[in-house]
Amino acid sequence: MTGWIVLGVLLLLLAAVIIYVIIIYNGFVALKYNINQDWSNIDVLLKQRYDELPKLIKVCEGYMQHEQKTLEAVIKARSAINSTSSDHDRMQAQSILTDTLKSLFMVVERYPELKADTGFRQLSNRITEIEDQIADRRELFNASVTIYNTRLDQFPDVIVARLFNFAVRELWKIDPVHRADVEVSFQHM
Amino acid sequence: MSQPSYLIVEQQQQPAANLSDLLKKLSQQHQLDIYQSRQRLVGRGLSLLSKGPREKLEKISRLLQENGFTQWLLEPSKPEFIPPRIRALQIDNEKVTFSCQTKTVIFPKGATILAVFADMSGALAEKSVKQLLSSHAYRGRDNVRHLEDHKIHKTILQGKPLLDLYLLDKQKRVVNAVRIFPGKFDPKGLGERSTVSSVQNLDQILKLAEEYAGDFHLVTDFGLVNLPGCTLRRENLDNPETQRQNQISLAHYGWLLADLQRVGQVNPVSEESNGGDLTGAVATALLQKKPNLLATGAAEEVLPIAKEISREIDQASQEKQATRIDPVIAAAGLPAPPLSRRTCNWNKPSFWLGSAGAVIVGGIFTLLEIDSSGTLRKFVHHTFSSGAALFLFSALLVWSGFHFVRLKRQIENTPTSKVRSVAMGMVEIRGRAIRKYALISPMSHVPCVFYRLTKYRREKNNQWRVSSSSSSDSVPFLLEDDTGKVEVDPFGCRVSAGTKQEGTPGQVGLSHFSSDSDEKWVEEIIVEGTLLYVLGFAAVKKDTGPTLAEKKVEALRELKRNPQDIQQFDTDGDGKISSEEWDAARAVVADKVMRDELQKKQRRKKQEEHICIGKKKGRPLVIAETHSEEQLTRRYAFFSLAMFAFATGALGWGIRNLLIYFS
Repeated sequence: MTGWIVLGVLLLLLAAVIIYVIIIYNGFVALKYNINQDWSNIDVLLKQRYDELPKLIKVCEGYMQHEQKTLEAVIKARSAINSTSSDHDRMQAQSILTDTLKSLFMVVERYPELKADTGFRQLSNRITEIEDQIADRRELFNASVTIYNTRLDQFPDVIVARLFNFAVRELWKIDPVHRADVEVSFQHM
Repeated sequence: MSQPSYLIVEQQQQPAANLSDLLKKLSQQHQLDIYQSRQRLVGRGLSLLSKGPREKLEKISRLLQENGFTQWLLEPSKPEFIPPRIRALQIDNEKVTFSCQTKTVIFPKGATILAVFADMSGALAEKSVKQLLSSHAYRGRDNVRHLEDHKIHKTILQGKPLLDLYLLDKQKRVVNAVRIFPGKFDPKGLGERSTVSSVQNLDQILKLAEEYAGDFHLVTDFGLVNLPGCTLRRENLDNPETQRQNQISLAHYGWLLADLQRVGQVNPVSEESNGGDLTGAVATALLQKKPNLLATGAAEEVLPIAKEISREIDQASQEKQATRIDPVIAAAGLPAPPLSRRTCNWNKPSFWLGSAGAVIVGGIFTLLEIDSSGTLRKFVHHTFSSGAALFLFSALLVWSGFHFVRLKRQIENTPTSKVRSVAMGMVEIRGRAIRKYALISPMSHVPCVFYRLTKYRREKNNQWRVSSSSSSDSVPFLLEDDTGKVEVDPFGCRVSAGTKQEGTPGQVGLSHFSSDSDEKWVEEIIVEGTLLYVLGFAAVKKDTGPTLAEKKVEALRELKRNPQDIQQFDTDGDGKISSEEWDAARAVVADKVMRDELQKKQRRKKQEEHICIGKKKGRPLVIAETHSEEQLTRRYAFFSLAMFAFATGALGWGIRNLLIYFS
């Protein structure tokens, strides 16, 4: 009889361990899909920015006859997003677009009439707002990835992760060029 | 020694912008305590600001005059008699005759009458305090709203009313007076006015006095004023002395009011004449470009229209003031909290679990009762003695423990979002709680974003039992971080409130109106402004406003209400709207409503207007008053460990029972 009881207790312990493993496994699955969702949520905002850009360029073209180069850079960066295939390339293309937009807003300082235009103000505010939201969601994406990657290396989660081949995810890193100090010149202002 | 003078002021319901300067001056120049002066200058009714030598008070009075306070400076007379109680009355065309025990008092038609209509129960004072506390909480210290006159009248009638009528002569001296107690006089004298209700009869006498008086003054704020000798004490039924003192206080108040009538208020500074002349002079000086005109006072001779211009300047400045004040008042008030949602218990798992448990337990007991063969009794006995019941209990504890483990991991696995970039789905945010509605906690009367009130009743065995529970889970609130605000709907949530306190039934703020020792209230609140952690499901708010069709119907109704607007569709000019004309009108209205709607949609909504974090079926909603996520997860880890420990204990005990059972 005692043997049966010992067996029962062992089975119960095993059941508890299995339940715990299931919770860990489900946690990994949830985290993986959270990361995907966070990535898609950034995409939603990038799409919004992508859709707003033609309107902004149209408004700018009317005033900035001598800044075709800057405007073309923005258009080119926007088109480049469509031609990317991998997540990494898309991240790079989006970063380039963000940079060209920054250049555009810096050049706008030389056109007071454009700055005073209501349509331009509304569009630039909207794009700035979207840029802020994109930055927030990038942070959130990186936070999700960090939680996931940390869990992968923690005990006892590491056993489940190795058992079911959960792979490390990549953080959204910025281009090393953007880590350099910004040189500010007032000669054209 | 001469009698001290009183400086009585009429309190301002809303404090003026320059009140703090006035208080500083009163303190520095006249050594009046700032806090006490503020209490006496702001409120509703009359208040004694200071008493002492007349010369000193005159200086204070001038300062108050400059700040627009209505005030009286007087040497109060001592009451010569207490108004006698009437036993009967008689009305004729020229007078009202009141019969008292020892004399008859005649109030001729057209006389000056001062009526003091008072509540002697203290209910008015209590209601006024409640109103002040709630108004203070809803609208802030500088924007309190006092009881309205009709509510005061109603409260007096519902309490313990008493009416004093004073007959004043031309110099406003008291000539005669009567006191009317409800039900203590013969109402036959009221004739057709008499009713079966003693309180209504009293009200009829009040109306009669107003009708017969040439000059009538009604005062209803006895018990609410801060005047010497006019205090209303809480009546104690066992001690008739308090009743007598209150009636003497009422007489004091009546005589003091008559004195105020007699001396009249201190004339306020005539700002209109002085200010007007000054503005006129300034206007003339500016228009003529001759500043010396301002000093010589010859402005009006030089420019006869100066007064006209000054009036326009005054008007413009008044308009400017009005537009400046309005938004402040509008912004001060929050909308009233929405009514609590009707909840369907069928949707709650707790309802089903509870019901199932009750049915199982009830069923077992019933079966045990009706079981004559003893089979079921044996089964239950074996279930307990073999440890099976303990194994079941242990399994339930393990299940609960894993529930907390899952919740802990969910919190740990969800990164914190910023409010401005909240995406749809499960989110975790942290921020400061702000009220969206004017929610006040029911017991402590504190502005809060959430409350839960549990009422306990003492049982015969001296144990407390929950008698009822209510919460504000139907009232959404806002959460603000440094990037924006978002709405949180606490319906169906797990709330950890930081403030918990015990009280007694009927407790409002610091006032206690009940002494029922067999009932206690426990209130948990999340005070406005506290830092909160929220884990919930973000979704776009459902549009609960009227539909497009309803808006069209309302616009057509509005059109029908305005004959002038509808006339524009009378194309044939026959003064009637034919069916074709009505169809055209409908088309125009439908088009306008559609355009308005599209315009509204184009306007970008604020975050708090279109996103709400709430409960989604199968997902947790946690609202916790905590500064760190770690604190919360530690708490859940502790709960789960406790559950597992108890489960292990129950399991061990079950095994022991099992071993004994088989041996």
